[in-house]
Amino acid sequence: MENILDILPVGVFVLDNSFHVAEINSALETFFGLAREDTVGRDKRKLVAERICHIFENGEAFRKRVLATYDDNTYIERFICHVLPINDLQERWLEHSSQPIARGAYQGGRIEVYTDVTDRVLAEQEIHWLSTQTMQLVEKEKSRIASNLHDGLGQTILAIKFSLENIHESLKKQPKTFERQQADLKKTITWIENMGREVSSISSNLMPSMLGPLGLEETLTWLKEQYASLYGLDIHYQSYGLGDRRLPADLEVAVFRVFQESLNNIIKHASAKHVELKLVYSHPTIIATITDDGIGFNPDDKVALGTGLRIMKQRILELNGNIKITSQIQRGTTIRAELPIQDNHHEKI
Amino acid sequence: MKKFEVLLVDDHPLVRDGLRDAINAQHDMVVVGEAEDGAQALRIVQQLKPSAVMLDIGLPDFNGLEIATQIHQFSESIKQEIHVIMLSVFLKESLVFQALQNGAHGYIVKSASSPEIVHAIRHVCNGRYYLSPEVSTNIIPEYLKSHNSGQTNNPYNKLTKREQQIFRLIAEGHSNKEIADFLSISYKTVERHRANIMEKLDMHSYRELIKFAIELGIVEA
Repeated sequence: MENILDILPVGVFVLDNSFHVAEINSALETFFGLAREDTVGRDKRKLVAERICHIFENGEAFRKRVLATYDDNTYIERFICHVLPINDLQERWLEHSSQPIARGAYQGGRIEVYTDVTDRVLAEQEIHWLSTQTMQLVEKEKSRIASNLHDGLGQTILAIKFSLENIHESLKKQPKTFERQQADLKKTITWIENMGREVSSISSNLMPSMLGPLGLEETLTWLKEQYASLYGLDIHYQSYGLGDRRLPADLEVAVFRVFQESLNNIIKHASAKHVELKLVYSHPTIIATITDDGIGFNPDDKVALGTGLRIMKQRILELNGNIKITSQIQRGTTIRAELPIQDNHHEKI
Repeated sequence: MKKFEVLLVDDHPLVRDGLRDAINAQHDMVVVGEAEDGAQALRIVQQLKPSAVMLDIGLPDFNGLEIATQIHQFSESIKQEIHVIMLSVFLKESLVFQALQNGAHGYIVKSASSPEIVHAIRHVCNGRYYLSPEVSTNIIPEYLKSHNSGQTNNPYNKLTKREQQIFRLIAEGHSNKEIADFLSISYKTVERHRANIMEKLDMHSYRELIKFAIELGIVEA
């Protein structure tokens, strides 16, 4: 029996019905730094409390969680624990998976299996890190392009406009001679004005220049008007409890993006007529709610959710917030995002 | 006739170029100086004591509104009028209001045409106020709107941070005792907050409070 267990790549504890160790295998010896002769026959509760829990990050939680399975040996337990690189142990992440033994020699006992999931955990951490970096980079890049457009191109357009207007003014002094040129200039001035508006609108969609100096309230009012006039939507915006209060800059950007992305999604997919935007300051969090009366979708369907909303979800999770999307076919959609204002969560009692 | 002397303050050289050409083409005004930030603007104002300053609100070093205040104070101290016209890309009631309060005599949006700008300079140098037409078409409705509905009138806006927090905990169904423990404050304090919240929101029952919290999306139905 022991030989067979030793073939396994997973660590195994077999406990008898009094939770004494009946068997362990060599993978487990390696993972936990335990020797078979010091372990077999001993009370597992004592082992956990005295020797095992100290090798884990957050050992106290590990101890409680495992001991609870002995107090009530009826359920399957599964969680991931982190072995710290101390006393010659190799750092790794193990998935604990245990269940009662229903029949055979150790009936009434429990079997605990530890699978090395280090590669998976590290890969997940890497993905998480990369996605955070990418998002920050995208946000930075958007800001950079927006300010180049606004400060560089936008101001140049303004200067050209002034210059054309100056020429126009001087031509006015000789009305007869330059009648046609005046008319042409007038037209050019209109074009350059339109160009200025376009540049400013592109730049504002990337990163509204008013967000920094004027704050969320103004920016969201602008956003609302922008979408209402461009897409003929009936949009209602209301904020509660915010007043002139300013939030940390990255949070303001995140809140703005929630509204912007939701509106983009509504325009693209929802066929909605009415949209309600709500921003509520509920200390210590801020809640953004977007409700539409469109065609709805199945929010559990990742494809239906779309890239935009999935990215938004990720962004909110990274800011320690939470998001809930409620939708039903033909019954509209509600997106509710909640973000903590400081790092401390609003924990449930 | 003595010309109106104008100082241009904007961090974009091209914008200054355009403005300078427009102003210098007039018979009654001349650009006497240019500055690209607030500190430089103040130095030149003290040196040249111009009749008007075209002041960009978004300067690289200081907020233009602050510079307006300082120019205004200097102008009073030397008992000579130096008229400030704010230039801004933003149309916002509170900015216009603050500019005027800080002693500015004009507020112009940056999309204004050059004839409008020289008109504004002439106007303020003759001791009058000048606001872009966009200010009256956009700001006044905005002013009326914000004073009729929205933000200001909603009772939720009267709650302090602490009250917001307690409002939510109540709506989530927690007892005063639980709230007191959670926030590490006394039971009495929670009771007092609770009474204040109900009074501020003009509510008389728990049911009303829950209904409002659901309406705001703070708790779910």
